[in-house]
Amino acid sequence: MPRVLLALLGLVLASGRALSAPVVAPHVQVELVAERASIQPGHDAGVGLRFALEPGWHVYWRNPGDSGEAPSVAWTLPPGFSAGPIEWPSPERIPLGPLTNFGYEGVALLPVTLRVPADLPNVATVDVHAKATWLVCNRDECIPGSAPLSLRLPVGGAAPGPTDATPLFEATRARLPTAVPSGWQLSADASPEAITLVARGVAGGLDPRPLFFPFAREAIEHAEPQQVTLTQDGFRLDLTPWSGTRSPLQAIAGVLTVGGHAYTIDVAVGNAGLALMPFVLAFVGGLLLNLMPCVFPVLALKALGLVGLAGEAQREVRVHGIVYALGVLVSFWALAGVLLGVRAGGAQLGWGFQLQSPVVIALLATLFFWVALTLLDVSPVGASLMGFGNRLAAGGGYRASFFTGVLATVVATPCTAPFMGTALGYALVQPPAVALGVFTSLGLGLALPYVAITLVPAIGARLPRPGAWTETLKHALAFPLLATVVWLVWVVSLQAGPPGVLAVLSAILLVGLGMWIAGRRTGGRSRLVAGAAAAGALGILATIVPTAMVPSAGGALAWEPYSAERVGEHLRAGRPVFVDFTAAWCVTCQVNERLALATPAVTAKMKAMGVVPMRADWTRPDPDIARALQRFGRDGVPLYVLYTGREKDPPRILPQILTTETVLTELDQLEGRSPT
Amino acid sequence: MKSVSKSILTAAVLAAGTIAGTPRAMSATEVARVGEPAPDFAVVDTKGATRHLSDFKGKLVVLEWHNQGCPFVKKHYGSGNMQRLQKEVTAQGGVWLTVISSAPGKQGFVTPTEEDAYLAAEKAVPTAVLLDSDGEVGRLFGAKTTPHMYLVDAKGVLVYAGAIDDRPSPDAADVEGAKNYVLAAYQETTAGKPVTVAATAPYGCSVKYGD
Repeated sequence: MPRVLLALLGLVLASGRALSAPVVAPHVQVELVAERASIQPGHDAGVGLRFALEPGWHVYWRNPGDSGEAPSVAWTLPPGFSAGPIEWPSPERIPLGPLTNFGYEGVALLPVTLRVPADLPNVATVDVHAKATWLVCNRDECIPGSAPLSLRLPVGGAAPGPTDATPLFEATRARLPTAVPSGWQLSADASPEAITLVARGVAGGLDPRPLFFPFAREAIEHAEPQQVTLTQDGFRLDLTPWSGTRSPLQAIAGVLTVGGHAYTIDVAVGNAGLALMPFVLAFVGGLLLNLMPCVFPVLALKALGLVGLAGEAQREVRVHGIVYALGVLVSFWALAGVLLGVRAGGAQLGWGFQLQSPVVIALLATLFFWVALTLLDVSPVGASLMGFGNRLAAGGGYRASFFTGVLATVVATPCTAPFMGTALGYALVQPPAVALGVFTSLGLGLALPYVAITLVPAIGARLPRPGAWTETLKHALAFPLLATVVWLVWVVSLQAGPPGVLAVLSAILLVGLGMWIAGRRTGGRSRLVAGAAAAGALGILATIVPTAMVPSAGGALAWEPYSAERVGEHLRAGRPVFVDFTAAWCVTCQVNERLALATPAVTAKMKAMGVVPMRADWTRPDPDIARALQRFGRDGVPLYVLYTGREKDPPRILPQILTTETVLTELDQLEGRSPT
Repeated sequence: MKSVSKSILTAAVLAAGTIAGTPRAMSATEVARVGEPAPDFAVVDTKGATRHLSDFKGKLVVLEWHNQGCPFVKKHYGSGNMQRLQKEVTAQGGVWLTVISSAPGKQGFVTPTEEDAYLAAEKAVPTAVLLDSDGEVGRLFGAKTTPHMYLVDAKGVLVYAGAIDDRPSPDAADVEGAKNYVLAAYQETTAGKPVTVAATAPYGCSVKYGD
């Protein structure tokens, strides 16, 4: 018997193969293997645990996923030797009904680096021993296993030959994760509802598609599908957070496999630049709102009213500034609260939702008309509410300052600046605290200029002194407001048709009449008349019932109504598609349509190139359009998307402010890239 | 003819419903979450009685997902760890519900007689063993592994979900010295304190749901 063993040993050694004893366990054979035929003193050697699994059975990765346990190994080594940790090759996703495991099927190798001392005594072979522990499972059962393993490693010189396991080592090493290539930029975002990993600057293939394997078991829901969206220079991976906690992840750590390569990643969530941007954008958007035709008249007059106040009133002026800012902030918080509340209820709403109701539009038109009449000095009713006149200097009137803030917010809403779309779109998918933060930034931006004037007397001092010319300015500023009224009535005509226009114009007439009568009288009576007029106007507006949509003006192109299915059909047929996400109440959209999209040059080019023009009209709520906007990371209109006509190409997103040149350039590029 | 058009209409409505109802039927966000009321259920136990979670309002309820063939479950029964925990909970007036979500023909599926024999042999003392062979309760709670442990407080709110302890192995030697999350959560809840570790990733065998 010993002779047989010796003969066998001789055979093994003669073939240049490192000796090992495979252990036959249920459903798996486990063996220690060496990468090279011999080891060299002072040089690291590759060894590994080799699992040969029966079909349908698997062992696990370092994070086993929803169930299971990773294999482990405890070494017993000769003096001077040491073993590194298991180097885990990238695993596979193994679905088990509603659960998913991460692991290996077939033949799997878990390499370990063995440190070989330089001062190895003069021996022919070295024996290493290990206790391996594993769990082997199929879809129905799991069997824990454990076995002592040993491996005899011949000691040799430089350039040792290969072993039977060498090809397996090579194949496995190709699947070991490496550092992320230097050109890549990774960023991550996490909320209790969603984790997004964005990779930019990615060179090379993305096939097979990107997959993420977290190191921690408490990071993501392993079984949820990982949504990949290809972008111009990389991809975006949407992951589902682990359901056990509501606190968002701090870092996305694990292995990312992309195009057949595995990379170790550890991305801090919410890189400062990424997270701060929406707040900055919201703030700038708020600042710009001050210049909008609907807001500027109201605030300009109020600011001028402050100038030239006596020194002793400065303190009071400051308080007014702060109260005004509070009015703005409270209004924005109220809007944000309503929006978040409704969305929590599951409705697909975006910023501007309030403008989808013709009743709100009609109310705003009536309000603007009333403010314009006040500016024209038809009647003083409501002037105090807006803070015009000299009530400030006379003391009190903090309520008026507060309501100026509220009014500024209300009149600002139709003028959704392009900046705000992005910031608010981000806000609405964030946790409520972040969303409120974005709305607060917006409010602070809107409030800042006026507050600055009240807090810093030097700014006030630079403003022109009021005089007779302020009266003229005041009257002149009524006309931008009246222009806004014209536009709002037009929006109502699209939303509610002729009956709606009749109602809103009647309300405006009534308000005009009431104001005129009130202006001729004084005291309590005038208030009574104005109140009656307002009540009458409200009564009329309440009769507006949304009726059938009149399709928005189409221009020379035959705009198809948007549907995701139709886009898909066109793309499959190889036709490029241009989608115009628009709404009648969106000024930017109307301007873009008139000045860029409806121009003869663009129309002719689109027709010549066979681009299918599609219009997603969001004048009234539409969940399909809301979902489409969200897919592009937007929460409002305008949005312009150009599909190249090849399904693999990512859609191109055009800027929010269009010029004929921008559109033509985009179309040229499309043409240039199409195979002719 | 009328019935044909009606059935077409029904089919259309159903199809629309399928599209509207997103494909995330077993979505993580729809299952029980710590800090929220635990979902109620009605399921038959080994004695043939229908048990509701709401039957136990006012008491602390431990739910234990079980599969007697699973090595991780054997670890805790073989060492007597699970039985100790069951005694501790029931002695203090708590309720222990062992839930078996293995589908017929799958590992861990048992008849009431087999389960009663197992309980006697293991000297296990759960309040009841629930036979959830269609996996409905398991899916409601998002149970992933055996064992997967849950604690519901007297108001019916889920206060702990996850592993039984901090040693995710099938090795019985690891019971000694492990931090038992369920016991800690039970003691904290009894003392009127919030649970320090309220959610962990469960470990063990996959729950053997039907296809």
